[in-house]
Amino acid sequence: MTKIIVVTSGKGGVGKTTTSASLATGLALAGFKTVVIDFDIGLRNLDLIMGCERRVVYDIVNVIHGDANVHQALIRDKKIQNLSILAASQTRDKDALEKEAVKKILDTLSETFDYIVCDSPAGIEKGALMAMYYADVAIVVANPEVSSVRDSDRILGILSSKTEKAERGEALEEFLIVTRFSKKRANTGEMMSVENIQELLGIPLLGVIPESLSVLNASNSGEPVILDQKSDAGKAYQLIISKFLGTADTRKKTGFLKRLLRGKQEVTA
Amino acid sequence: MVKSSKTDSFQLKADFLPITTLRLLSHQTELLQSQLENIVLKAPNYFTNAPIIVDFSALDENAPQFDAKEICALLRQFKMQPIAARGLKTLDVLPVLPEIIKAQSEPVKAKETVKMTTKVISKPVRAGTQVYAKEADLIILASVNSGAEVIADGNIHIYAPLRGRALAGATGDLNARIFCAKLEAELVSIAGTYLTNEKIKAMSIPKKTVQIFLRDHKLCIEEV
Repeated sequence: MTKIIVVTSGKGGVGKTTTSASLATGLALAGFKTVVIDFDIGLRNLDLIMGCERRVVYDIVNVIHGDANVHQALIRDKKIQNLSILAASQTRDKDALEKEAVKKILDTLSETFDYIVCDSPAGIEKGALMAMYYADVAIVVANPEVSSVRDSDRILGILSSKTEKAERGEALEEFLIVTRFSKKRANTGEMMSVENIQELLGIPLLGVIPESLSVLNASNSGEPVILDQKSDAGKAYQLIISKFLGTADTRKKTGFLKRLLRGKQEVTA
Repeated sequence: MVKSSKTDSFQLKADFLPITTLRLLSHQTELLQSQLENIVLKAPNYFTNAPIIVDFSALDENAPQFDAKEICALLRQFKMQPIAARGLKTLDVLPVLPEIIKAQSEPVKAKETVKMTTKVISKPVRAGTQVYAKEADLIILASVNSGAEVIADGNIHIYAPLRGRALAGATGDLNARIFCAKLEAELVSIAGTYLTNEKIKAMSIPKKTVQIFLRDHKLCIEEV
């Protein structure tokens, strides 16, 4: 069964695209056929971070309008075999997205891929709503500051009311990733602590990405930071992948106590 | 005599009405029942809701099988309405009769009291979400986060931190209360009287479960 993952946050600039790129790359490296879709129509960034901006011929709006089929528009990653990208349009706006058209694209991609990662735009407007509507799993990215946490809370509220699963009365799997975290500043009280964020949002934590220069370098060079084996941010994303695959597959098998203990370990790590 | 005019709503008159008397000849209820069944067979609706006076004069009240209550109940089963008793020597069996009227008016009252229901929320109420319990109490088992709003016409119970807004007695119930496990609210209000975050902070609030209620049109916050 294909899993559709939406990476969202509400607030802009917290690291959704960086997380989407690293998550998709990590899942592909783990052996899963993965496609990452940029839903930020008009402000396309994902192709830059994935280093394929010069290879974009058709984008998601072309597919919706029928100028090209989905497979023509997919850009296959040069190094990683299992990884493909569907770019956003730079010239249109988010009104070009329609529920039926998005469903058609996702259904076609579900035939070939194991994971579909949807990189949501900021805000709670149409683009963000379209990116999350068909999701099975939501990954909420938050920075350790009050405005980001409040926006994440708002997004979680929308996720539990305006997705297809919510409308059917089913529960969506929700995970938290805290990015741009600095332990030093959290200890001095300048930043919110991870425990504090988790208490406020009340969803399971997948991992913490430290504030790191390597993220900026990776974006500039067009290589997802997860491929940077030496950086702490890259290692943190690798940990997230193994935890995500662990929880996603063995969730129903592990006992309550084990899950509780594992959750505790992650928080203190 | 008072002169009758068009504005009078009623007239008082003495009147003689024929009424059925049921003269009991035997205290055996089985015999009574079989005879009643026969009557109902012949004229199914003739005695429906008919007022009946029960005449006990031919019976021996001190007989061990005598049970006025049972006789009345049996008559009611056949849709007769025993309204009075005659020929009873001991008065303590009399109060059996008025029971009918009471029994009939009770179900109507019961319906009215069911109206007030409770709304229960078990998931966190998140920023930008509004929950309204119309004509009901609201019970929330998870946190009410900042930027969220919970409203009830009745009371609000929150068994977790309250960080958003809570408005009880929204339609003006001055007796409504808010209960919460940890008060960090942006705003609390009861029947339109409200306190904002700064004012709450300025009061010394116990860090335990508190209740918020109106006393002399002022909001009070006290430990439960």
